[in-house]
Amino acid sequence: MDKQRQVENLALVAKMRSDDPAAWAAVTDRYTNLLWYIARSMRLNEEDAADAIQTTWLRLVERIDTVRQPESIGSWLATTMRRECLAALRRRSRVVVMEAWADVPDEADPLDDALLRTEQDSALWRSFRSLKPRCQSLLRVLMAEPPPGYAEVAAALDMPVGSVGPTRQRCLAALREIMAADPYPFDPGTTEPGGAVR
Amino acid sequence: MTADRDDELLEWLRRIAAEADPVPENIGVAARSAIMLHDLDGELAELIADSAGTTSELEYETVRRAAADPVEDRLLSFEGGGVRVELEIMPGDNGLTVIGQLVGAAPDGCELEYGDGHRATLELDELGRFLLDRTRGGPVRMRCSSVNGSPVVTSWVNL
Repeated sequence: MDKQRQVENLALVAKMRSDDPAAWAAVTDRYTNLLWYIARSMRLNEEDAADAIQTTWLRLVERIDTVRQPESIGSWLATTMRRECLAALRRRSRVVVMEAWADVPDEADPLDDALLRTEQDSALWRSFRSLKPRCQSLLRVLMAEPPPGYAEVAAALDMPVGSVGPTRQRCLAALREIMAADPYPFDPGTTEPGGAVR
Repeated sequence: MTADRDDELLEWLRRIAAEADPVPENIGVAARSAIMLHDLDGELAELIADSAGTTSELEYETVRRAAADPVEDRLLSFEGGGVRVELEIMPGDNGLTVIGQLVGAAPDGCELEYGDGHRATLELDELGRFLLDRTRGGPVRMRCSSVNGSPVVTSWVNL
């Protein structure tokens, strides 16, 4: 998936350099959702997320003619967004130490109050929110639509590409354990590694 | 297969997140219009230092400083096209106060441009300094001319 996307991105950047509005729309449609999830995984509120996302897009416009490795603009966007999110957190006077932002308490997750469609969805989200912050951050980024490539996820979270897959697996296994211990009677198949979901 | 089950569980989470926490519409609209601000004329004055750590070289140092003193003012420097811009940003109860100085810029025609394309004229004193009071946050850049008349535009920065 990463390889195919690189080829597509290379073509899109070439078109963006000649100010093709359709190419720009394609890129913003593809990545705005990922940038939103990066902001959410780093606990930014909506206003801060909006400013950080717009700054990231404006920086891409500014650099579109000179950006190195145009095939990897997804990773470039994710890295730029991560830095903007860290700066935004710092401006909110929160003490942010490198690698420790995942420990910042997340008081206002909109999903906690959202009316989820079914009891089953609510129970799954409750289990998700009991995960360690690092796992919540990773899975939140992975929830973006379209699903991000591992190189993009690695850039968003400043982690080695090679550890995205194993960490994802570990975090989902931890989620299943929490689900199995939850009072909500999940389908047993859901909580076993070999079982069917729902 | 565990891998398939993992995909399914993640897909379930993805559906919940998409339903309950979708991207606000205005963010997508703003992103699509960002291309309108593609500047083809101005020489870029790059962000060369940021005490908030958006430049990678300074990230580690500033993070440690932020940990010790989280409410300090933010300092930004831009350089390029024969112009240097220094900004100091102080958060206040009624918005941000920005003190700036442009070195090597022509005194007239300097502007502050916001992320929605709106522009405001910057009044410089004889030393090239300006003051902005109660400024809102969000992305901005400065436009000016160097002393020899060529247009210069700074990199975008989120105040």
